[in-house]
Amino acid sequence: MGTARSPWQIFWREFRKSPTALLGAAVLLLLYGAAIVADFLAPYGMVEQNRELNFVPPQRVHWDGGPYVNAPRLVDPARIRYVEDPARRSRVRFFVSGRPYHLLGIPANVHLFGVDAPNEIHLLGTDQFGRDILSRLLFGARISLSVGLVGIAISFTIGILIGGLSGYFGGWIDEGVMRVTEVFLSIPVLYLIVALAGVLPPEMPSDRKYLLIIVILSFIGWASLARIVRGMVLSLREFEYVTAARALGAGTFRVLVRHILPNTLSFLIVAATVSVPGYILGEVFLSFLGVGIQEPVASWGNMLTAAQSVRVLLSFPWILAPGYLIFATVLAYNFLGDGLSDALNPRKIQGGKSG
Amino acid sequence: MTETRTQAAGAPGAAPGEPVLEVRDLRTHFFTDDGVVKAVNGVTFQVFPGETLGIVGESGCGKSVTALSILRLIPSPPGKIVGGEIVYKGKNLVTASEPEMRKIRGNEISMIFQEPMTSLNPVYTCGDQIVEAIRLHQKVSAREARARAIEMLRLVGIPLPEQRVDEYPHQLSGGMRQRVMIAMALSCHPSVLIADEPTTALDVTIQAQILELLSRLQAELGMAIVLITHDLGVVAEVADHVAVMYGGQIQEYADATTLFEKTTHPYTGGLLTSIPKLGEKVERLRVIPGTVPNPVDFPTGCTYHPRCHLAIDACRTTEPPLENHGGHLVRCLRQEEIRSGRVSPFPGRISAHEVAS
Repeated sequence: MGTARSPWQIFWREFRKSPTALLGAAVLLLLYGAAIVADFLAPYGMVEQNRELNFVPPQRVHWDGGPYVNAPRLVDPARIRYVEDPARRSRVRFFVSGRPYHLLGIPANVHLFGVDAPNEIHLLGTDQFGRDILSRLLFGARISLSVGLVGIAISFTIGILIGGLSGYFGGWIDEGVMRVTEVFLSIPVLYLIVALAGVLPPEMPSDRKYLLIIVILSFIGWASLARIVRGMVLSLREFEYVTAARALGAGTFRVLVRHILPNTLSFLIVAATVSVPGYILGEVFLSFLGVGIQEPVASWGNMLTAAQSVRVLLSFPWILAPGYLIFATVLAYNFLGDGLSDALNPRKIQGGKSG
Repeated sequence: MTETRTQAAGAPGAAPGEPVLEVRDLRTHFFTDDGVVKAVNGVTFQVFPGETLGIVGESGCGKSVTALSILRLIPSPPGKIVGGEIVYKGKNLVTASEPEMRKIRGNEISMIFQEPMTSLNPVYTCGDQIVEAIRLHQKVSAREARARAIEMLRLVGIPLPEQRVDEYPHQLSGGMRQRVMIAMALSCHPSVLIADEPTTALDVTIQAQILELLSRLQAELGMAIVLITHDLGVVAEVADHVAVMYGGQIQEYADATTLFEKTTHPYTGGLLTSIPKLGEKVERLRVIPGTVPNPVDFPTGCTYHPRCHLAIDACRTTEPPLENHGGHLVRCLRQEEIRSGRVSPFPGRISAHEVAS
């Protein structure tokens, strides 16, 4: 047994064993970090456009003692083909001042990199309006990555509370709550979204409209979680430590919140991790239907809408960039969830001696 | 404790002072789909300050439900206390409000459980759980509560309490966990400690240590103990009074000496006969024939009659009342014959009277 190990130390020891889980965690940290400091990382604003430079392919970075890029020159206006123009090279500069922004409330205007105007730098190319794809990816990440968190925050809060109360009290409360969850589970979500999109006032800003839809989705999404939590509480309340806590004079709320729910934590963390990708994919799906975030605001979902036709895809494959990010994010979440469920296995946590 | 025992034995029935806890004809029933389970159906006993009451019986006889009823921890629904009184320091707990009960639980009457592996919450350290118990009832700072928790751990004989206080239950052995449980239960110095089979899940050597610990703490803190067990040996060792339960009812209640020396109920006799004796060679262990009856459908009359070696026709139809003979309570229709020695409460033994006829 040796020195005392807290559950967190045991968790970390187990978690470290899985390289895929560590990779997933690293990728997600990178993505969320980038989304937070998007203003600093992005060379351009989300809606800055240059109509003369649409569908510019990703620029190559050259090296001659320092990095530089060659400006693109349009050679085939009909098929929108560019070549590099070595005559117009521009030095890539770091920590350049530019568009002002607020980072966590602090005003700033420093950007990680940039080139001197009037030249432009598009490391991942531009879209059909000549907007920088890298910048839009970074700003879009804010919406695409946060929807999952907002979604689970709402649905988990409701699900845990209602499921917990239902399981703890049992009897007619349980019966009633379970019938209500059945009603929620039988709502056809797809039709509801389409109907909502039609009902919501068109003058509503698209991000607000979208947030509202996510909130509504989470208000429906709690039902399945509530059923699982209820089942867990139903079995946990039979444990002697629950009776012991009551025998020490703890009240109902205290027993539920302090003694029962923390024991569902390992399950909840894993469940939350694997349900975030659902919301992220949901955003993509909604934007595809035209219900999600509307232009010109960027999200990974609506950026992907531009890649719908085969002709565009074949000619300008770089506009698929958000697809790769979605793929990477979903995969990272699943890797992480897998690693967490192994590391949080109660047998390993509780049987620390043998582990 | 020896002193109180002799005193009680010297004057059977003469109660040494006022009982701190008195249970009168307690009835706790469970209303299930299969019918009414009369888990506790007539339990009467008294617990005196600083003394130990042993409640003995087979699995399913209602011992644990009795204990949970005293603290009003019966899951309701389906359980309900349908009759009787539980008087603690002059207050009837059956009718007490839930907030009143919360003040009593852990503070005035505490409980420890059978399974030390599951009676501590795995997500908190031992210290956290003792601190919670203290702060539920007393307004003390977190630091002070922690100091008291360490002191309690030392009191229950846990080595290096300053380190153990920050350990999680899974890091402790079963015996250590039971000690932590006892520390939790005693942290507010209750007047009554209910111990529901506190040693059943432990090794025999650890059992002895825990029983010794309880006796020592009783001497130091002066609380009364209600010791629930199926082990007559344990009861013989530590109890001042003994209540024998069967089928949800008290069958026999007396001070320990009287119960073991003047056994009057055939069920108590059966239990005593079934204890194997060291060094004695037997083909098979002696057991009471049959099994514990299904509590949904108790036999009519005396609940013990289908297994009783003294059963007569009247036992099938008449429910025997709990009769008091100077503090020795017995629920048996043939107790007069047993008391006079005409029949033996011990199965397989022929009384002198029967030999003569």
